[in-house]
Amino acid sequence: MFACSEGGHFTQLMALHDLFGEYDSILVTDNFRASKEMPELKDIGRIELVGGFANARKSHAGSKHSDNRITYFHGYLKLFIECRKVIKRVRPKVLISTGSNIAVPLFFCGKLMGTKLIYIESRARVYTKSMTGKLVSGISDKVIVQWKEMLELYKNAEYYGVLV
Amino acid sequence: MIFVALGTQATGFNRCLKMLDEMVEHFHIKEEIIVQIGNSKYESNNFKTISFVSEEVFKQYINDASVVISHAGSGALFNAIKKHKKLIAVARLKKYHEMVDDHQTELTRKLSEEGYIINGTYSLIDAWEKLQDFTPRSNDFECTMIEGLKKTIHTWMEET
Repeated sequence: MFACSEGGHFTQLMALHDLFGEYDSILVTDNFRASKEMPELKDIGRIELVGGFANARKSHAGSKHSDNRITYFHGYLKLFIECRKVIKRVRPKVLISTGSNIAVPLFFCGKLMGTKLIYIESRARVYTKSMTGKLVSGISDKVIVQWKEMLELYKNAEYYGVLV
Repeated sequence: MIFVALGTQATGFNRCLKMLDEMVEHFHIKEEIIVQIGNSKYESNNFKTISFVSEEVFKQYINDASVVISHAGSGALFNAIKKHKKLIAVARLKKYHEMVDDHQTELTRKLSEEGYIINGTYSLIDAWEKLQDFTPRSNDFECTMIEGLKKTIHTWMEET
């Protein structure tokens, strides 16, 4: 199972598209534009869209109002429930994610199912851990960083270069 | 043509456009400027704006540009580096509510220290001056992550 949120996280996962055809694969994302029509996704077995969270996050970014916090929390709860359903149904052997928020519920639910977890820290992170990285690196079976500097922050992480 | 890419974030990036206006007026730049403005609201006679574009069209603009000025999203930066463009990155900053954190400064610092781009986060006028005798380092990034992942997955599959 491959998983990513929209934006740069999606772009980075698509850089791994050569892997999609190698296995019985499934993509979980909140990017509603993801479809098998995209050249990178032609070999993916199936696409599962989860979400409602991205919009909540957008309204949260520029504002400090409490009603938006409620929307944010509600969106997150919804995402968690959707992710749990997908994990229970699919029972993936391996879960690979480039982040961001979508990885958190998937990794925690996957861990309980005995799924092997690989977290790839964003290429946008050179000197500090992302929030997602802080939350999921502890339960991941493998952490991959995209800059050598990050090896200092994530002990036991692996470095293979940056996805460009 | 100078292409300016501000990304798709919900939060505006007017600070960058104000710096762009000042840069154009300071250097009397006559070259056409096209700004992918996203969710920013800003009026100026110095440039044309487009709101959002498909990835394909976005790459075409980068390809056709003599100079790219971009917010420091990794997609935009690496797209321009791959085309070996003269590139100025302007990191979105938390203190101006341009982003939820300051992570855009990390890639900007790393890529500018290594000679791929110019850092224009605090001043586009300074960045434009530096750009005049700047030859960007070409895309020499290497990545063996796919091979690494294949190996790991293979080992795990053998175990079960």
